[in-house]
Amino acid sequence: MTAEPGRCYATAAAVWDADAGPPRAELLTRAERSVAGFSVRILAHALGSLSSGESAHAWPRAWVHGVTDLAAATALVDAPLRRVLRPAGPAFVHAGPELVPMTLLEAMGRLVDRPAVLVTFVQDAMAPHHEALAAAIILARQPTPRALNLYPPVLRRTSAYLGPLPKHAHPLASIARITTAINVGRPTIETTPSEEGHDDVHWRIELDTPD
Amino acid sequence: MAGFPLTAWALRHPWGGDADAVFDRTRAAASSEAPPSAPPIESLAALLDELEPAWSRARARWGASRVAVVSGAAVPTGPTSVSPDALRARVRARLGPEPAYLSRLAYRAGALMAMVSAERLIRASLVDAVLVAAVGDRASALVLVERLGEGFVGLRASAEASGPAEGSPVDAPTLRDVVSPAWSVAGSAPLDYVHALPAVEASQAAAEDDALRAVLGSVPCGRAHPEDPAGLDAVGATDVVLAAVSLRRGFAPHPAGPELEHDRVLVVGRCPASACAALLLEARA
Repeated sequence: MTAEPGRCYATAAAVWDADAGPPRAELLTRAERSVAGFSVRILAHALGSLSSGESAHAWPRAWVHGVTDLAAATALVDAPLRRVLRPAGPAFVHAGPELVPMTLLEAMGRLVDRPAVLVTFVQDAMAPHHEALAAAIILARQPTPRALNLYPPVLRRTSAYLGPLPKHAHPLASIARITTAINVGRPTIETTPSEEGHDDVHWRIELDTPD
Repeated sequence: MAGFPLTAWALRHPWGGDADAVFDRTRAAASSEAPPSAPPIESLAALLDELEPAWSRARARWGASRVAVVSGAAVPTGPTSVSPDALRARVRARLGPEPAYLSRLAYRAGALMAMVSAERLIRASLVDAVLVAAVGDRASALVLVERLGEGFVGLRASAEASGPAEGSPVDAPTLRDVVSPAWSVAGSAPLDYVHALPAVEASQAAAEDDALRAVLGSVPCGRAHPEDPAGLDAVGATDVVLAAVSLRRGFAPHPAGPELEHDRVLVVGRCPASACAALLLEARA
């Protein structure tokens, strides 16, 4: 009665964080860089690392963006990133503390219609706890030589030994670790919070080497 | 196969307390008639109460890990909009932390995009049942879609595509990119009518109608909502409910709307500077 979901492979990933230095954002023109906000520039930097010089037509036709800041989401619509990533335009997903697993879930759903999906996240610095961070991942139906198999996020009861998840964790901390795991081809299991006030359940995101 | 059944729905709207009442009003109201004042977010509690039995059955049938809630919201959110965070908090307080929950944000059509996500998540076998929630300051709707179940109306197909941020008021190729695949799933069988979401301006509505005719031919096309940006958070979900009722009642939801000769309605919406989406609804045998 319940069909198996299609396979999903994380084929490429890139991240910008404070350790990367000033964002280069070379995908943008000089004029675009001069007026773009910091979030757009760090995301453009991550996308530039992801594309590695590939031409624009190589981008997937589907783009899912996990929204951490509702006000910034609408600014992104008109940002030059749409020019860079055309023909894809962003589909915005918002899910509070569950943003990473839910954005991945929405992106995985899109693989039923598209061979690949671009997934992005960006968070500007938020004092006092969070540094700026941007991440970009490509999910695909077909594996590449170093791709990891991404399983659908699942809710699990939180074990006593795991304890409560940190209250001031960066909202994109898990996607930063996932991005690193994809880049080095390392199987990993990420644990992210569920809804605030529900410490008894958490989301589990698993990446593994293909069979 | 006639799609994933809409096993339950509930609607609150200035024009009536349930879907049939709103449907009757759309068939009787003159387009210039202003709707009365809107229900607040508290209507969501009543809607959740109304759908709770169906939701509990779906959750028991499929399991907590195989059901999800997808809400829709308009961006930018207006001063009277219900924020996605507030909506999620209300739904989670009622349904608990276990269903997967995500919000689709889209200018003027977040709820339609939520319906598309629901169909796609089931079709991709990531979940087996989705509750779509959309709450505006003037109208609210819940729709339960399941992989299998009892329901006269099925969600047969969906398609979504993004268009250019700038450009002509109507992006005909993008409209074609969503209408053609959604329609072709049913073998491009005859459509009774096309239910289009409100356009930003009347001139855009006319241009969109022309673009739809270019793809579909002379299928009757209607828009049921007053073009009021303040009440658009629920647009899409309310349109799906009205389209579903139209299939059950056999008439299009418009003043003097035509009798439906077939069993198929296409719901189409376009977010300016963002995306287009189409849903094909069919009566199930």
